Amino acid sequence: MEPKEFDRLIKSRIQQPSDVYQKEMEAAKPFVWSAVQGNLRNTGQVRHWQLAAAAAVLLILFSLILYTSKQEHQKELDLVYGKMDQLQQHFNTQTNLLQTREMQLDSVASQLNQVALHLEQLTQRPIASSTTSPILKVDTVFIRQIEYVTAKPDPDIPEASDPENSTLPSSAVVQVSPPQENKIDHVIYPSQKSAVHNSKDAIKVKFGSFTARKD
Amino acid sequence: MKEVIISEEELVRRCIANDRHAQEFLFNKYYHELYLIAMRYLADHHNAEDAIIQAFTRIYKKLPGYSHRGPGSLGRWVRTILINESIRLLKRSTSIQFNEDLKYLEVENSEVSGLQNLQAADIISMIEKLPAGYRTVFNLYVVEGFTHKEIASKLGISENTSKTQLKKARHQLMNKINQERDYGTKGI
Repeated sequence: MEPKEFDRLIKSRIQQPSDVYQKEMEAAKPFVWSAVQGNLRNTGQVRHWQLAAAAAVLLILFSLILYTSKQEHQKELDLVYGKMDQLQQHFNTQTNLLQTREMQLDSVASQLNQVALHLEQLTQRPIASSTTSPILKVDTVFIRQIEYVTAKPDPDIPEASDPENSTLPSSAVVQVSPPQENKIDHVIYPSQKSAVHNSKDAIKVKFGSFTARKD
Repeated sequence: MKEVIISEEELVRRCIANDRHAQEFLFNKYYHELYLIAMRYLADHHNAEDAIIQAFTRIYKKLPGYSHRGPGSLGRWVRTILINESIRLLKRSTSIQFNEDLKYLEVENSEVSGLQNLQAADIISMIEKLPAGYRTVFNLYVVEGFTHKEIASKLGISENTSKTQLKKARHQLMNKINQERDYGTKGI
C-alpha cells in the first residue's frame, strides 16, 4: 500500500463520528467548563492585582527617586552654604583690612594737612635774609663811532692819472656818525668825569659789540 | 430546549459581548472534537483536560482579535489553538524524543488489508500508543495536513527529522494493524 493511500485511509477512519471516550468526556465536561469560567474571571482579578502591584512598585520607585534626588539636592545645598560661609568670612576679613587701610589713609591725610598748614605758615612769615640788593650805577660811556666810508669815483669824471691833477680830495672822507641814543655809548674820560654827556670835545668810542649786543 | 441557529460571526460577536449563553454554546459546540484531538496528541485524559481548559481560555481572550474568513474558519482557528496548546503541554510535561536514527523497520506485511475492518476507536488507540515524537508528527502531517517544513517549524526540528518520524510512525502503525488483523483471523 502506498503511504499516501495509507494516510488517507487512516485520516478518513479517524474523522468518522465515534463515541470513543464519550464517558470520560462527559464526566470531565462540567469540570472543564467551570475551570474555563474561573480562568476568565480570574483574568480580570489578576489584572486588578497586577495593576495594584504595578502601581505600588511605581510609587515605591518614585518615592525612592524623589528621596535620592532630595538627598543630592541637600548635599549640593550644604556645599553651597559652606562656600557661602567661606566667602562671607573672606569678605569680613577684606572689609576689616579695608577699614584699617582707610584709617591709615585718614591719618596720613591729617598729617599732610598739618604739614601743609605748617608750610603755609612758614611762607607767610617774613624771612630775614642777608641778601644784599645791588645798587646799580650806570656810567654812560659815550663813544664816537668813526665810520670810514669809501667814496665812489664819479664815472663822468675821468680818472686822474696824475695825482696832482686829481680833483679828488686829498684826504679820505671820514664820516663821523653822531652818537646813537639806542646804543650804549661809553664815554671815555682820560682823567676826569664829566657830567656833560654831549660835549663836543668828548670822544665817543663805541666798544665792540660784545658789550652792547644782546645776541 | 429550542436550539437557535446563529452564524459564526454572530456567535463570535455575542461571545465578545460577554454573553454567557453564547460562550457556553461555543464551548459545547467544539468540546467533543477538541477532546479527541487532545487525546490523539497527549494520550492522557488529565493532560487532555488541561489542554482543553487552556485552549478555551485562550480562545475567549483572543476572540476580539479574530477575523472571520468564511464558513468553517472559526472551527479551524479553534483547532489550531488547541493543537498549539497540546504541543506546548507535551513539550512541558514529557520530553519528546525525536530519534533520527532511522533503524530500518521491517514491515511484516505492507498490505494493510484489514484496515477497513478496524474501528475508529482502535485506530485512535493505536495512534495514542505510538511514541510521543511519532505520534505528534503523524497527527500534524496526516490528520491536520501540515507540511514537513511547517511541522519542523512548530516542533523546532529539521525537515529530515520530521520525515523520519513520519516514516517510523507509518511502519509502526502498519505493523500494529497487521497484528490486529492476524489476531483477529487467528481467533477465527
